[in-house]
Amino acid sequence: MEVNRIDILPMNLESAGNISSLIKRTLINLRVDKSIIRRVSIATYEAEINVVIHSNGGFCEFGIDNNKLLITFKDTGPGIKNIDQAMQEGFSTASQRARDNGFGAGMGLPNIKRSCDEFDISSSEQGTTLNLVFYLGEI
Amino acid sequence: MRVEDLLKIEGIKLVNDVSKLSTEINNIYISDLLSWVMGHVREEGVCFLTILNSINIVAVASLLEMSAVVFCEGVIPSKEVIDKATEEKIPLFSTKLSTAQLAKEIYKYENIL
Repeated sequence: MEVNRIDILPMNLESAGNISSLIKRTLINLRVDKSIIRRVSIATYEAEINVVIHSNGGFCEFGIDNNKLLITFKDTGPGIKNIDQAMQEGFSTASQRARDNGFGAGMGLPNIKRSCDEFDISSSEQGTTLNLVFYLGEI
Repeated sequence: MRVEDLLKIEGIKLVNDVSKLSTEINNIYISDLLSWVMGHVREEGVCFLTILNSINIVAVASLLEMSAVVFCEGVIPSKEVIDKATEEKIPLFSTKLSTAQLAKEIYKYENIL
């Protein structure tokens, strides 16, 4: 499987969306169903934003294997203190700058979980790893 | 209703240079919280009414295939927002009307639902 890796800089709100756009374009070229592309776009944008506004930076890796899109977002900390709480709609620890830019609704992780077919998250002070899988159907 | 029909509403102006204004507006959506928008806009072609002047508006509008974004209550998008939206071919409008007033005008013009 060919894996693409893209670094994500902390608090770089201007470039947030670049990774989700790249993945979206990749799926459009593969003629993946539009409703699937939409779900992937939502999940990858939210995940990208999470790394940008909450972490010390990290990266995204994605690849396609057996008609499945596999995506990993990994950052270098400071980690999510309470994942169950973070998974609740409306709970947010976003900074004022993030809120000024329209984030902090506490919808990020719930939106991601709802959008993907497989969801796995683990976190410690050393960082958070999010693994997402999307079933692409016949491509 | 098409995007270009927005210009028939008094006090609304196009603020970036996008040639394709014939896209159909399928619905409108009002919000200033982008994650809320990501989680709740279900269809393509939505015209997004907001007061949030943020570069991230463009990424959200593009990823969700929105037909246009209107900045209400006199909010004028910054140059970086305008440039990014032009690059992504997202038409941006600005108006002194509130989001609620504009929604009323759009519904008056044509029942888009």
